[in-house]
Formats: sequence, structure tokens, C-alpha cells
Amino acid sequence: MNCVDYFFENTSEFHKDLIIGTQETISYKSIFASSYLLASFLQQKIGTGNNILLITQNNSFFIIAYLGILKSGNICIPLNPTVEQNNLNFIIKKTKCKIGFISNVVAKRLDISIDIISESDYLLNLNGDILEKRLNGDFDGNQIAEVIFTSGSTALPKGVMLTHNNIISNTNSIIQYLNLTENDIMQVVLPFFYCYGLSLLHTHIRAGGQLVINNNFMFLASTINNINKFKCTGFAGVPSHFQILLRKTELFKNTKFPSLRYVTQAGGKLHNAFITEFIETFPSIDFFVMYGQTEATARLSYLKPEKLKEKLGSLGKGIPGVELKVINSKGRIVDPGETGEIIARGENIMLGYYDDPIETSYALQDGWLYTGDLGTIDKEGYIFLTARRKEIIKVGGKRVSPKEIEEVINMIPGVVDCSIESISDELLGEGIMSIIVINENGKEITTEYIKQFCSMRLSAYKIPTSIIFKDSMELNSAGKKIKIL
Amino acid sequence: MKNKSQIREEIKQFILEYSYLSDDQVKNDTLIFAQGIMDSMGFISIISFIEENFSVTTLDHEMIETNFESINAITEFVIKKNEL
Repeated sequence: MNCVDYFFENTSEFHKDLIIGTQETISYKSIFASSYLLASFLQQKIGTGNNILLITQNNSFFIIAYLGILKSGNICIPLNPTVEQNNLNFIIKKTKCKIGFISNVVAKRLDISIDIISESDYLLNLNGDILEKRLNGDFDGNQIAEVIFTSGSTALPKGVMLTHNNIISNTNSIIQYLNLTENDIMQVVLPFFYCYGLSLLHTHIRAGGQLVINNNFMFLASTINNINKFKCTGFAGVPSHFQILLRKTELFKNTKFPSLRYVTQAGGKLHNAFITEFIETFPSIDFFVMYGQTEATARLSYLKPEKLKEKLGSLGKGIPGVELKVINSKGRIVDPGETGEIIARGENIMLGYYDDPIETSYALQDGWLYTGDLGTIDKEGYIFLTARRKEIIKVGGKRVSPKEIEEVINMIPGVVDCSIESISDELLGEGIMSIIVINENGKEITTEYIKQFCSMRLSAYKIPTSIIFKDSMELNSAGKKIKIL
Repeated sequence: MKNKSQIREEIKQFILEYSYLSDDQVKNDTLIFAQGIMDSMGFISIISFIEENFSVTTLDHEMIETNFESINAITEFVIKKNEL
């Protein structure tokens, strides 16, 4: 089955709006019609199986182009609108793209060598009939639907190939554990070129919910007010979103959100101090800690809100249809408390990396995805993330998890955010550098105080040797901290 | 105290430098966030810029799009704050 048919299976005739908010409003029926017309147009003009770029911020242009490309049997390659010229050239060359849906702003900024369809002209030629026969013929769900290039801080980006079946499987699982229905309204602050953002689009179309698009999370008053203004039932964020909402403004904690049923957090580990602060401030809002990867379409695990206090710090268990294990270097399942690599199996696991059999063979072995994340598992099967394999810092030969140190420093009142990074050290090989963001209440904090605070909670070798205070943490466009690796 | 056109020009120059766009690509009424010219990090930079250059502190409830949606809007916001 084509995943776009699956999305609209029950919702194509809905008169209600799919997109609401301050930017634009557009109905299910309209998005469905435009997407299928675009799919028909693409099939006539270029056929199927072609790679097509999509570069724009979250808006109806993205949604219709995305759904149109997938429905037509072509392959969508969504990219960050702030993509660098070098990376764009690399991706175009690697994927042999000849055509792209690209917004005018992006097209003006970059030197683009392929045919461009912009938001000004993408609907102009869509006045023909949908070619029902071609669009509704047999469709192999194992075909590639999209290639998502993951941000490689250290190397060239890798293209994750996801099939229609991958997307359908992950969408089903997410709807099930979040219990999404047509009454759900999500404020989207995550970009759709990122798997977490895309999962919001997929699940809400399938469930018949609504999306409030907000491309500027940092207008904090608007972001907070939108939740009540549009009666949002859900909010999805990465750690930085929650840290900023909790520590950068008093407005969030002082506002009541009667419609907000749940929030989800993924895209990295949010330190326990923030989770505790959130659930103590908003005891009636379900907080879903989740874990996943682009390689798994989006989602791999979640922690049930009712287990959050008891299993604080855990990323939970596998979502429906996903099996998770933690294995040691000998390939055996770890004992409780022993650290190993998290591996996953399920219908949501990618086909592989685009044109990269070597990297694919490392990541996919015997049907399992090797996540590269290290964790432990307790007796009840709850998994705890300890570090990303490549983020481990080796201080004098001893392994140090940046997460552990960040957790301690984030406990200090007045600290808004903390990032631990490796620095070169003459004696130890690697040393620990801490970058810290403080708010008004933290003006008295000194480097000595940080070291003293850490010394009471960490072994000596885990105390940062270098401490830098910054006004804000550098984030990539997906909201993840930029690490110097 | 700088006059309105000086304030507007300084804000415009800052946005052009941040976005790497040329003078003719950003008008005073261009919706800089809605059109994706500025992003969240750009917003933080604007907050810092107007604080450093015009001594304007943005309060929590003022972090709304209407105050920052265009060069004109930011200029008006700075003037309004300086009048208070």
C-alpha cells in the first residue's frame, strides 16, 4: 500500500481543516485533492522512481509537495532550508536529483543546478483529472518513499532510505500508544524535514487530527498562547524546547493549559531535573519520554507516563511492533546494570543508507538495527540510555558519559542548559569542557562553584577542567545541540 | 536618541548580515520569519541586537510575532519601548 493512501484512508473527505494557526488554514479535502493532482501530474511528466528534493519550511507547500511526491511513486528527499551549498551539491550529485520543490527564499540564497518548482507555480498546472488507474494500481509498499539525510557533524551526511511500509508501521504504532484520535490538535514546532516532525504530520493525517504550524518557537509568548488559543491537546519537543520553556520564561509555568492532554519529548535525553520540574508543575499533563532514530522512521521506544516517576531517566520499552535489546560486545544480552549497545527490530527499520553498502552493513545486521547508543536494562526490561557511542569521552583511559555530568550541572538552580564536550588534553588524551547557559538567577555562579558542586557528586576525573559561560546554546535547526566532536 | 530611519536602517543592516541576503531581497515590510529569512536563532540574535544597540529589553509577553515580523515592526517596537 502507498503510505499516502493509508494516511487518507479515513480522512480524505473530511471538511475540517488539517492545518490551522496564524499562518494559514487549509482543509483535509483541499490537501487531499491537491496532493493527488500533483501526484498525477508528476507521473505524467517524469514517471516514477525519481529522487525529488523538497526544501521549504513547514507550510502547505511542503505538505502537498511531500504527499504528492510519495503518492506518485517518486522518492522525496526533504532537506533543511538552511542547508549549506556544499552539502546540497553533495546530495544532488549523490542522488542524481533533477528536480526539486524549493521555496523562493531558498532558491534565491543558493546556487541550484536542477529544475525548480516553487510555491508560486507548483499548483498552476494541476487542473487536469487525476489519472485514477495509474494512481490506484498495485503498489509495492517496500518501495522507497523518502531518503532523509541525517546531520553528520563529523562526516558527510548519510541518506536513510525509508519505505512506504516503514512509514505505515511506525505511524500505526505511534497512534496506538499516544491514543491519537480526530480530536487531537498538535502544535508543531519541529521541522518536517526531520523525522520527528514528519511523524507528527503522518500520525495526525491518519488519525484525523489537526496541526497548528508554528515555525518560530522562540516567539515564546506566541508559542505558549497558541496552546490555549487553538485548544491544542499535544505538544512535541526536543530537550531544548522544554528547557527553554521551563527556564527562559516564567510565563510557561504560570499559565494553565486546560486542553493540553500530553506532551512528547524525543531527540535526545532531557535531564531528569527538567522532567521532574515539568511533571510537578503540570501534574495532569501526560509526559511521554520517547526515543528513536531516523533509521527507525522516527520512533523506537516510549515510557508510559504512569511509569515516569518510578523509572525516571529511562527511555522506556519498545513501542508496539518494535523489539529492543541491549547487547554486549560479544553479542549477548546484557545482565541488569551492564552497559551495552541498544539494537532494534521491527517493520519501521530502514532499508539502508542510500548508495552506501558499507555503512549499511554496520548499521543493519541479521535484521537488527545497531543504534550506536549505549544503555543498560533493568530487571523489568526498562532501558536507560547512558551515552551515544561516539559521544563518550575517554579521560585518562577511563570512559566518561557526558550525559552524567550534564545531569549534575543542570541540577544547579540558575543553570538553563549545559553541554559537555571533549577537549584535547596533553596529559589525559581527552579532557572535559563544560559549556553552561545561566539565567537571571544564576548570575552569581562561578567556575569554582561549578567545580565544587560537581566534586560533591562526581568522581574527580569527571569534573570539567574547562568551563565556559554562554548566552545561549548553539542548536541545529532540529533543535539539537551542536556538539564539537 | 536615534531617529526612526536610523533605527530602521541599523536593524535592516543587521538582518541582511545575518541572512546573507542583499538589500533588494529584504524590504522594510517583508515578513522575515514567515518567509523563512530569519529563524529561531535569528530571533535570539535580534533580541540581543536591540538590547545592545537600543537598550531595549524584551519581556516574556512581548515575544510575539507581531513585534518582530518585519523590519518595520521591530523599528516600531524599539521606538515604543524607548518612549516608555
